[in-house]
Amino acid sequence: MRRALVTLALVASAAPFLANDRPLVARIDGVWSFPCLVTDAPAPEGQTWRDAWRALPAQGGEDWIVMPPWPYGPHEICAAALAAPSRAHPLGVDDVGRDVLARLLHGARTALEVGLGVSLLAGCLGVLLGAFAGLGGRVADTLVVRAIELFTCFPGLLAVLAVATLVGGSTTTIVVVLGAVAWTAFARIVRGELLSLRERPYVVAARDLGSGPIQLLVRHVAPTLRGPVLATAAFVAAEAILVEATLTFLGLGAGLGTVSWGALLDQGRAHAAEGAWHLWLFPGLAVAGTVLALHSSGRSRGARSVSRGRTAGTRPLPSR
Amino acid sequence: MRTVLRRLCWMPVTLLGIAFVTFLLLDVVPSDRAVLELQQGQRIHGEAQVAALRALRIRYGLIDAETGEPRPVLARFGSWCARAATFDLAPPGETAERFRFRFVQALATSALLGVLALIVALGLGVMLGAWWGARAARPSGRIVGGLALALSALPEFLVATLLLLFLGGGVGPAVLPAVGLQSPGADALSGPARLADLLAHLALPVATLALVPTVTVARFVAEGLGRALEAEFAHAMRGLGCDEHAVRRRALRHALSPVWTLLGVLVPSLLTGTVVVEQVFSIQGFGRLTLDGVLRRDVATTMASTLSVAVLVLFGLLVSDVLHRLADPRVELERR
Repeated sequence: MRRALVTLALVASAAPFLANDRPLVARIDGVWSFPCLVTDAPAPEGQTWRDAWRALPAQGGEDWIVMPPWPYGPHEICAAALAAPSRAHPLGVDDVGRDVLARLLHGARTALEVGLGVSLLAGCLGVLLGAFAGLGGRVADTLVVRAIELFTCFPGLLAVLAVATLVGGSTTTIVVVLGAVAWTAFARIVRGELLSLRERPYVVAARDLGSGPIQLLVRHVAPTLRGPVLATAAFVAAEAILVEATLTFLGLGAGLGTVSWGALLDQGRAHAAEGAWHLWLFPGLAVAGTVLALHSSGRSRGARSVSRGRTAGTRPLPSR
Repeated sequence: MRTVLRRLCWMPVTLLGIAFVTFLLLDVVPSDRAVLELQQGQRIHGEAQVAALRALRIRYGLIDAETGEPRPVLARFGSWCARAATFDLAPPGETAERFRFRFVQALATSALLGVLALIVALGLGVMLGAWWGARAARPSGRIVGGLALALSALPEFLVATLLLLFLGGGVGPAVLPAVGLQSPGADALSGPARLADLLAHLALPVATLALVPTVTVARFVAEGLGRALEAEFAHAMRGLGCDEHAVRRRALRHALSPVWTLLGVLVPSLLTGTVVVEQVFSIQGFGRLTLDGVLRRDVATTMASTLSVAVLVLFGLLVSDVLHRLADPRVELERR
């Protein structure tokens, strides 16, 4: 499962070089260009890069073009709207005429950004505050616990709307808002583990043998905390990907320019009754596969946690 | 007991905090309710527009009627609190009774959906979990379990759409009704026929809502059962000559204990997580009320629904902690 997730992350981050309507490298009339990276590099006169690329073998000569493995871009209109899967477009075409495979690959990037971003942000916040509560005095603990309660009850929908109308809906907005809501999951886990860890015989023994607080934390407590924290991160990332899709459905998503699985699924929902099955099936498989992989890797880590029962089955984010 | 009391005492403070943060959030959103309503209404320009905007803003208490200055946030929050203290949460232009009626009706609709989904999730989840747990290693168990997990990993709106598509008449015949909670003209039907009509309308929304909790409960039960079947008491029973059926029945009781603690998380999330289902199946419930309130910047409605959700979640957390504590006395609710 971990290998699958790593592969997905690699594919996602390499998406612009895997599916693009602009070549990776081109040499036209002795001039080198990298249109994939430099977006204002002009296409050969009167035709698209892809047509030029296809015409090259027939022309012969010195020019050459290296296209990405999948020579269609996520924003490029390349076929009749809602065309069913065919040899040219194996996953079909969306309701505007853009290639679904290309959009799926670029959507993986958004999913990676949302999943990783939310769990990183929420993780940093939550671990810090959880540690503050678990290691600080009673006042610190009470403050953090109240904050956890407050944020658990808080309507995430409202927060997304407020921030989206303030600074405009984008992937960053979603990441920041969801991260600011989801930290409670981490804080709760870390606090609970710390409270139970500091009574453990091995920690007491280490303290009595003269370990200072920092050594205690880094050498003895942190390794045990890693499992549950990573498990929570996996669950939060999965939930964030689902919430992103739901926000798109509710009209609070990242906007039309963003290529995401949620946007694809929403298109699929809108056109499901017209027989465009490819528009919900393939993105659905992508979302379900990713979420399942994240859940199962989270569970295998959660099984090793100190106090079980809290990691599994929590729904850290609201408004799914 | 003391912990429970202390947490109950903290609750009003938390609620006030939530109310204030919500109020602030609604305040930072640049366009207020008056602007939105003017945009939707007829196009008026110039002097008339300014006057209408001013009238609406005075009506919603956004600016002072006499001076015309914007009222500060704290003053507005204060007057909201004063009204909320008398349980008058209605938006301007609506009487408290009418709003309460509308609000309670929406809440009841969602609660009906949520409670039914909870019953389905518990019943079906325990059955599925018992079946799955006993066959976890066999191909049949793996296939069914994998399928259930995959379905529960889809966004809710997609599941709802697919149910509509295949059962609600998108392709093929409409097996179940897809819109609202009543057929047109259902008021004229007799009692039992009306109930049947309501149940038919509830089937698809409840199925959508119950999917994720069913799979969660099933997974908990299945994992617990797997552990219990390998526990010492199970081996002892087998050694004493009990048949596998009896062992499984005993093991199931052990496997059910974590489900009770799961309830505290499930109840609030089911009661408040109905917004997507209501949107897809056009049901006038609590979720839509909230979403409408947020989208229209209707401060009063948003505040009322936010606070009700907060109360539900706070109680749910408390109940789940207490149940957890009762099920496992080693758990401590609070540090000493």
